[in-house]
Amino acid sequence: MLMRGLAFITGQGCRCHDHVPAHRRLAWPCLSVPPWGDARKHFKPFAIAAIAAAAFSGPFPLALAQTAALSLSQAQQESFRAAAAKVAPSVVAIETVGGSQPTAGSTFIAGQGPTTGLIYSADGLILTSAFNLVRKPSVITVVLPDGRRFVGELLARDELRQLAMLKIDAAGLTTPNWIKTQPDGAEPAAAVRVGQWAIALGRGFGGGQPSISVGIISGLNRQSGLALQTDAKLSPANYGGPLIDLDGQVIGIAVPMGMGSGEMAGVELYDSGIGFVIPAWEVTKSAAALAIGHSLRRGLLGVTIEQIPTAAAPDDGPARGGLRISGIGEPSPAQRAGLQKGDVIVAIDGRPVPSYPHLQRLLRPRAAGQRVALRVRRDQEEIDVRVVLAVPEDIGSIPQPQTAPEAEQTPPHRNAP
Amino acid sequence: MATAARSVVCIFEDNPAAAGGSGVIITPDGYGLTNFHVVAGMLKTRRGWGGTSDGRLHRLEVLGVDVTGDLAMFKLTPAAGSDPHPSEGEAPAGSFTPAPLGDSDTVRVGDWVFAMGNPFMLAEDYTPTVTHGIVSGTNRYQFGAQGNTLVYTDCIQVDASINPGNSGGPLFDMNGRLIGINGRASFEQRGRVNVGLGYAISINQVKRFIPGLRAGLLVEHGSLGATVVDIGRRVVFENMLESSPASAAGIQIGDRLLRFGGRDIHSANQFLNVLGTFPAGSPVEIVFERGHRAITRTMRLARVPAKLEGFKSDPDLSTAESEPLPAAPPPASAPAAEADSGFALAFDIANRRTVKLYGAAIGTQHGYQSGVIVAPDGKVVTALSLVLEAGNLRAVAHDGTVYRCEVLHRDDYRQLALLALSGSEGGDDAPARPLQMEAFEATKPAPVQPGDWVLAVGNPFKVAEGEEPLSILKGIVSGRASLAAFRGAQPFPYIGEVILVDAVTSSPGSAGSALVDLHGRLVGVVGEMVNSRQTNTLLNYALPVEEISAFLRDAQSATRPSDSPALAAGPGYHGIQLSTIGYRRQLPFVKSVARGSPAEAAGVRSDDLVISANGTAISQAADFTELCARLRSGETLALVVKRGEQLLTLRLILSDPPKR
Repeated sequence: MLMRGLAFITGQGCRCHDHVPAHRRLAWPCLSVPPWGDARKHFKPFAIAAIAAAAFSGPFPLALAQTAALSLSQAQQESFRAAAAKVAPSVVAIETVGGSQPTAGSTFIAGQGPTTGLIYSADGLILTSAFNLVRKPSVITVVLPDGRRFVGELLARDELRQLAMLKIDAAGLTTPNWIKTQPDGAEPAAAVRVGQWAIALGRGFGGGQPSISVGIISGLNRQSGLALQTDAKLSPANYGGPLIDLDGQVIGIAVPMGMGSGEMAGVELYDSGIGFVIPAWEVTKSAAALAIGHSLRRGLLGVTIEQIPTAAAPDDGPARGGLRISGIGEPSPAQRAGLQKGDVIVAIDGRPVPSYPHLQRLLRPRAAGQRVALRVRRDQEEIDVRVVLAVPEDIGSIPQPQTAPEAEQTPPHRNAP
Repeated sequence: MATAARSVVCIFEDNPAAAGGSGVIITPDGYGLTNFHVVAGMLKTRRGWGGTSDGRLHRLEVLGVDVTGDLAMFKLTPAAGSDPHPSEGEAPAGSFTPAPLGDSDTVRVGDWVFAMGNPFMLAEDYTPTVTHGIVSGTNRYQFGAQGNTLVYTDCIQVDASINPGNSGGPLFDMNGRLIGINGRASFEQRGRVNVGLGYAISINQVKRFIPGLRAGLLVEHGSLGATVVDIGRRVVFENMLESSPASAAGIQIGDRLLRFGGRDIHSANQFLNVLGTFPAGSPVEIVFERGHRAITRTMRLARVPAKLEGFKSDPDLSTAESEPLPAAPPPASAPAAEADSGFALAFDIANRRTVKLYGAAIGTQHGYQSGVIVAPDGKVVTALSLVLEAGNLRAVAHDGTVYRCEVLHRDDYRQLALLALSGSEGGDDAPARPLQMEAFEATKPAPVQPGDWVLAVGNPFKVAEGEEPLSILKGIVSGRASLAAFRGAQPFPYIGEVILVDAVTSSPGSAGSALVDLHGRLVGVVGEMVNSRQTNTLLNYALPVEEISAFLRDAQSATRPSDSPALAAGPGYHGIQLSTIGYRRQLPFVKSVARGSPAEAAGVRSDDLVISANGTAISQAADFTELCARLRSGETLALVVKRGEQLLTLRLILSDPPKR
């Protein structure tokens, strides 16, 4: 009875991938899934009885129904604590000395720390958010939960996911359990459900134990698919720390994220209930490169794009139409691949790009050095080209496009993607 | 229950650069609800776009609007190329999954709820953001934007995160029934970012407007053609138009209003709150008292004229009486989801023991806050602030009684004040008699640990007035920490332990709120709004009840307010000089160590790089100077320094500064 009372909603599985055939799409069945998964795993009946008895011991007499609701809430508290205790031995504090915050990008001034990181390997890899190193500090130290302090070396940053990897000279460290992500080909998001409880841990307020914030998973597939969304309170106090489930498994790493780029983007949303987390499967994509000192930079085509209205599909969405290349960097990946001004981008890696947001969504998760397949329309003909994306420093200036009369309605998207 | 997400619509204008909002589908053929302010930019063409969680984008047509109540109805035309093979539980092609309408009159403070929508336009794939919270207040009133527009009457207040873009989206109960349309939130300090106070138009109000909205009309609100006034605790008719629904019903000036639309009426403001939920033409039952006789009548409300270019209002008010939409089927398998968080009990206890304070509004200081009753004779603990520097400081108790307040004791270190309440406002000439109030016990430490649910009960944004219940924000204890914070540009004097919470308590008016556990026991008192030195974020914290009881002991023994221990004796001496050449943001390298100083005794050497002091990270020289300024002679300074590649921990006992 009590367990049935924990029923909660689950949201949608991811439906955005047009390429996923209908039968493969995940429709969450109409389950009564409690926010903490299978509650029975956590609460043995005697525990519930003990909690219910405890509820009576309060200073105010309680009605029976109230006691039932109270004992539920108390059971929740217990499970939050138990989950946090499992991961706490892997949550480290990061102290930085020196450096200064870049002036561009944000009006937020980072505090003096400490900040948070998560032990990634027993031999001293520490995963954190790039936000925590925004000052480009001269010295980084890592304080383990047992109080030991090590000098940390910054191995690499991931500009796409706002992650960074540190290395300390230590061994035998306690690594946390991560959620199981599906084997290749399945939708990894199936490991996480909208509506499930999620707990964020951080070391940003100092002290021996991590601070805790509780919320639910609010959305999947955010930030061009790079992040999950939670309404747990994320802030500089726990950026770089783990978001965990009620089994004490790491779902992902909390990072500030906005549509802008840079380590500070999105920090203005701190504690708002809109928080982003790089999920386990995205961390995996990044961590191997970071561990060998290979930083991931955002990859660009080196073109400017303007959106042109198409008469063919007036009901295809807000201001959809063709994406016409209005300028090409000299040099640039686009130039090297033989793209020409006036080409209209039709598809990227086989997926249609009817609008600028579609294009952005497909290119934003790509790192410099990655190859993408572009299909463009040139004089009624469709051409396939392969482009190796590059960092902005390797892209030359883009000649100012002559604004075509029919393109005046929408301003060209400059220097992007 | 997964159906809830399918009923949510992400609304966009034709212009992709324009802001958007959210909506919710309430019929299988695509009729849906949103806020007027979401579609206000589409009125010229009456067209926009609606994205659903299956990733499809549909043409959206704006139908009727209610400018006063911030409502609008739209209809979606199914997108071409609909999925011919819907997966199980999904609506068949060309039809939509509607949200079943609930009954918002059964919603109680403390109920779990969830909000869905598209805050900050994050859903690139149109899957809504789900945020979870509790009902923080019911029957709330929120003033309009300008004039008689966008007024939220009798609305539901929630602490689920509601942000820009959530507007027009659904508020669901735990059974997935639609109980409100999220429309606005309290934003301040932080700009347009959630602080735990969102407001939803109740679905029962919405239901009355649906027929007019569906007919594509500009729906006008209802009026009695009469005004009422509070006389003592009675609500009395004061003025009346000659040909008004009120006079037609036989009401006379001086009659007392008892009930309206099925609700008991306690105040003129509350009556306006209830009246605002009815459209013109609505048949409403009214009960009034003349002599000692209660008279019941049913009347049809007259119109409060509204105008909007391109829209007609209902000429003969016929729609108000027509049938509302055929109800959407109830949730397929109504699971017995437990709506009750168990918080209502603690809230009731706390609400009776917490007061609304109104005082001075000086400069940027808000003229209101909250306070906690700690003794039955009317002693109240609150945060020390400029609000208290008022000649006519007033406290309003849970029953609406107004008390005069006198500040008995100020504690500059803890930043707390003790107030004495006296005589209710009305009885100025009556002899003062001792108050008998329900009070918190502030002597026992509350047994809370990190992870425990706690409730902050107070009056942020002065949402509650008079006898209205306070706002309740739920959260957990995030941890305990020593406070190191700024208020504005100044260091905050209190550096003792605080309880950190993950509810947002850093809002105007929150200071002095009670933080209670699930049993309603006092855990702490919310302090002034400060920024953490460590994170530079607004801190959500409370002074623990242990500190409150120490404060009360100090106040009782009438000792002078204890100054900050750190500030009382002046800073202690360590003998370390950091390199201070040039800009202050520089590495905290030790330049020199004074002979015979505590630092020398502890083995600090020049060229050591200070990494942390007393557990606080030192990232630049200025951090070290600020931290040491708060330590006095005899206290320990534990330094971690980097010497070459080595990390060393050195302990100094600070001394009195050397005499010159």
